[in-house]
Amino acid sequence: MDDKFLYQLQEQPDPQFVKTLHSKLTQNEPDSAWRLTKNVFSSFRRYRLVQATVVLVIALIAIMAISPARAVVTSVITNIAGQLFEVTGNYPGDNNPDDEEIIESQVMPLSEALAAFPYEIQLPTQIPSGYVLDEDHVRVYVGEEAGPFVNSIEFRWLSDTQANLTLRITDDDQRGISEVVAPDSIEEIQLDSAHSAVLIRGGWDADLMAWRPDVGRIRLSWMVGNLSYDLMGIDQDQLIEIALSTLQ
Amino acid sequence: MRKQSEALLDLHSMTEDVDWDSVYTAELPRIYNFFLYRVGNRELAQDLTATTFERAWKHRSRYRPKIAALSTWLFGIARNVLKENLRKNRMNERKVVAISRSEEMEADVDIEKYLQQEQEKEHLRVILLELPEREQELIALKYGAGLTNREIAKITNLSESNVGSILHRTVNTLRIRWEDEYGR
Repeated sequence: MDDKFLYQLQEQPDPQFVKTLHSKLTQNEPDSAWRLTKNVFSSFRRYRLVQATVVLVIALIAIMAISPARAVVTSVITNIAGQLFEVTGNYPGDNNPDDEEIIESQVMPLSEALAAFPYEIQLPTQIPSGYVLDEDHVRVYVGEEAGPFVNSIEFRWLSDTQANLTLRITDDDQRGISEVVAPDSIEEIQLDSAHSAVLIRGGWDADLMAWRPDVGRIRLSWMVGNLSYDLMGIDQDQLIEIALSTLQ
Repeated sequence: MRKQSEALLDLHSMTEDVDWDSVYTAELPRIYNFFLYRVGNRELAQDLTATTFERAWKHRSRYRPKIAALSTWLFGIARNVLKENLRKNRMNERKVVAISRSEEMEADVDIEKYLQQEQEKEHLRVILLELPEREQELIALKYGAGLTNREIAKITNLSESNVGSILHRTVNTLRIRWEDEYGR
């Protein structure tokens, strides 16, 4: 196949650009940290969302946290439904308040939130009766200030009589990064012939420094294209029904 | 049903060192050329490259080589950065258009030949930007970033044979258009 003509647009990046970007990336970093980053999670940082529920905080800690030393000894990585999990019996945090970083979301009406989020998304078309989407308070995490939550959007369905439903959608920038969970807390669920999901029961409790299977909430996590959908509620069948409606 | 007892990888084997300085040197030209082929604009390609590396650097301590190859991880971020940019451009009803390079010429350059080459490149940029998005991306990964079909398959979640056949078809289409214009 004669394709040589297609290479002619290749060029070396401007040396000044290369130098400037390198300086920007390495500023405020010790040379040793820049040159050779030990590829274990050498420092655990705990992220917490302002105004999030305790349960959500527990779930987010599970997403972001890994403990290096203990993990090396006892953790295993597993891939379920295209998603990576690190399974360990050890609490992944160190509860150091100095390492806690507050990440604030931008709260906006639904239409603005959908415009601000950089991807087209498929919202569930089937929501159990009694629930109403909180259209005035959609949380969006975009831009530099969103840190590790960048390109996430979060919806809540409220009910007067039942526990709220929370759906977080995020892109796959985190591919190659696993969520830390406890043994026997995750299970693969087949949504339909082409899609599977992961059911996660419980979450890390920062106060107890342990996994609590009885937090009263469960999460269902599945992929739609390059987006990860993470739905939190209390009824497994309800969550599956909602998830299926995003695949139609 | 599959449970975590079917663990795939032992974390102990994943604690490798990554020389990020070398990563920067090796991967930056590939990422830059990927963007250059996709957007046809040097300044925008630089902006997108910078965003990609800034984002990668922020998360680099959590990258794990045994889960995804570095190029897969970096190009995954680059693709997301590009999607965000395309979406932003659509929202602003602006289109990315090809622009000519403006650079200083060597004193002994054959001006006529130089202008002919620049015209050919400009024409190639234009026909690349007219391709469907998926074909544009595969061409950018193959001929801009210089990735193999196997690497492209991992990044795009297409099968290797699918990547090969799409590229073969696309290159043929491009060559016909190219030869129609330049007769070679």
